[in-house]
Amino acid sequence: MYSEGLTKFYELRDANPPLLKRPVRTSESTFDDYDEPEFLAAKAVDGKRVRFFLKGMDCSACVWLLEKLPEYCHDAKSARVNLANSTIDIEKTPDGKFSEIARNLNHLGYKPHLLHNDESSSRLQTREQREGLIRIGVAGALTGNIMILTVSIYGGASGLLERQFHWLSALLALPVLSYCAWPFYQSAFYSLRARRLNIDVPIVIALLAGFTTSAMALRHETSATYFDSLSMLVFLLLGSRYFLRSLQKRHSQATNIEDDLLTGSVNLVTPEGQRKANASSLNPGDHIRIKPGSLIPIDGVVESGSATISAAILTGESTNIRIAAGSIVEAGYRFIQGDAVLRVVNRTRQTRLAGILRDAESLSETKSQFVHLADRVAQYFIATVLLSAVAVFAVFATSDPAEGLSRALALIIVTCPCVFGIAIPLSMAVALRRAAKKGIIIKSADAIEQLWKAKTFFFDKTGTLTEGSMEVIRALPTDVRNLQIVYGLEKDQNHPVGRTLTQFASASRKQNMEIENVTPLDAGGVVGSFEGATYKLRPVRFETDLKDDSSFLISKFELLKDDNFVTDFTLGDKPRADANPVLRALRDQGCRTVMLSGDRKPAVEICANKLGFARTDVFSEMTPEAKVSQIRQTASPSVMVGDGANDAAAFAAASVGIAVYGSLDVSLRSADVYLTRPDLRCLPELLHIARGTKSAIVRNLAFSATFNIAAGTLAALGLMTPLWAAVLMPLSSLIVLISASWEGAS
Amino acid sequence: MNIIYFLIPIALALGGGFALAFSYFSWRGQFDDLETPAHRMLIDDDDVSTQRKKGPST
Repeated sequence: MYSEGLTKFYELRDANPPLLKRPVRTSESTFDDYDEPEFLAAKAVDGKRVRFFLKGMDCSACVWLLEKLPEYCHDAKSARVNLANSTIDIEKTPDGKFSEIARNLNHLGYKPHLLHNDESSSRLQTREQREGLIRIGVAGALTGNIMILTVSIYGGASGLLERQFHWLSALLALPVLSYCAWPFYQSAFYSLRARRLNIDVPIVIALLAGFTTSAMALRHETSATYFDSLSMLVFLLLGSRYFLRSLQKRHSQATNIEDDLLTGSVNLVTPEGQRKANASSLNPGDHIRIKPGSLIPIDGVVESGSATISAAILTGESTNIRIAAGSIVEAGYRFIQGDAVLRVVNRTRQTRLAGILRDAESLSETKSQFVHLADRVAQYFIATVLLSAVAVFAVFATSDPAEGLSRALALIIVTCPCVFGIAIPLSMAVALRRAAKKGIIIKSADAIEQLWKAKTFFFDKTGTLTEGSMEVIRALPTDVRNLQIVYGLEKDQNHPVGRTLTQFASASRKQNMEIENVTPLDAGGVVGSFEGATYKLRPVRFETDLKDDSSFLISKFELLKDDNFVTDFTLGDKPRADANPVLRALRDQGCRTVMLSGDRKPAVEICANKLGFARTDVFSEMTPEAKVSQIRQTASPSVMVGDGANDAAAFAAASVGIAVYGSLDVSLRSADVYLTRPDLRCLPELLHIARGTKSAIVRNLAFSATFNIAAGTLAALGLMTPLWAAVLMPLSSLIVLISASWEGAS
Repeated sequence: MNIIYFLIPIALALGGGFALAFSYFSWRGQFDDLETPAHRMLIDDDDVSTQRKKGPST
């Protein structure tokens, strides 16, 4: 950035700092496959334009930096950023390469994912959104003009002019009540067809009743027309729904599994030598090498060499595994250290991990539909209003049916369902915003409603409640001298276990204590001599479940002096510092906390004890399927908090799935909420926001009930005129609007 | 008061004109992204290539 004169980025960034500053792990890929013809055919429009999803884009300085791309990257002709979706649309120059563009983006610090170009669902979404906007615009223009006319009438226009104005209002209101209000009619129709009442049914009733009354009034040349109130109602309802929808649609990611699994470069080993390759182009039988730190993208077998891997993402196992020739590896394992050549058995798309993720996605698509609070209230509302209207009519049925009808209709029109239609979406939108400011991304308002009632919290262990890194959790009491020897042996070993042991022993270290002949052992561990004795520090073999003889867990190390046992160290992962307070807070609120882990029983029980889980609420060695069935057995709305790919299906099975910071990108798709801060305290904050929203909505409902009773009484007594309606209905909407926004400001 | 028969069509024409223009530009996607233009507005329009010739900015 310095050499290209782009340091202005930092000035801009400091002027408008992003809310959450988190560095992003960029890709090690070279993106060469972005130049392949088949790739381009699937992703590029006209072979020239593509859209990238960028991880790490979060401030206005990013907009400046990224849109300047064509000026320092000659492969890009134009670049346009969409900050809300974190996407960038790029058109390349005729002889430019997408791989170079992707490398530039990566180099700047944004991890690029190429998006499919003609996702029909996203096209449909865009179209619906644009149509919604047009409906609002038309409704607004017409409502404004109708109000000009009706205010004149209220102001005293009379005679021929008044009648003409009434007719003109009717004419202007027709498009509003038909075209603009169309979504309401559609929704009410489908709901009634499914024999249910949803929030749109009372709205449609009010619109139709209003139109009928007003049409009758036109014909009889009285002045009881409600066109202004009705079109204003339609306008406000459309507006608040559009607002909520625009906040919700933001977080769908249209990436595919292969792109996300490949987070580092894969080296294809051929007789002619090594070259870089894309995971999706690998075939069974290919030989590959993985770079340390990357995820293994295929299922395979180790042909030669040895290495240390972690299966935490896939199985939740908290300690590392050492593999050698003959070991079986699966997609999702993280390659930590070493050098091994793997033979591909399953392509990325056919791996167990890909299967798990696909199942999770289909599960989340059929996620059980619950009855929204708004719909339940709507049922009571309709019942009450219709009964009252019938009662009013009945009183006048014999004496003066016309008067009875007009009062009954006035009652229906004025008892406005606008509170549900406006206040609830607005309160939800405010809640989404507040959560986003705290780094909690909620995908849809449904999650908020489910969180109100949630009583059972399921937690994954590795990476969610624990740090996900190893430390010494148990050591036999031993002489300080032995710890000094351990330190001396391991201090120069550049190995994750070595670092763990070194850290553990460093408190006891002694300067100038030199161990001689320190050499690593083939099977892991290290040997050295000191003061005439030979000391060996080596792993104790534990079997893994991988059903092969050549891999073993690294979870216990023993120290031998001249081949005699001295002491041993047990490794495991430690709980996060914020786990205990958060769990205690949840339990204090009467929630049940359950640990679901794929890790082995001893490790799970140690952790569960430390964190205060009840014995019966701890489950270990759970496969992804087992987690799903355990969640399904619980009655009340449940929350699943996890991080790995092995939690993706569990997210979909629970009422609310929460993915913590550091989750695999791909498992974010089946989660309902994801956290962008590595802080478990997001959980109580999230609950607090959800509960606050509930009380705001309840407050608004109470207000609405009071208002409706008052207005309904006025209508029943025959005191309701269009003028009153025109004043009261917008007034109630305004109060509700202010109340909902107040929540957001506070 | 007959002036009103002149003013009302003008008012309606203005309203209608707005509705048409708004619909047209919505359909063309101008309002798809309402957040990024707000950020873009705050940034000055320097030319990076001239910056490069001058050397890095302080």
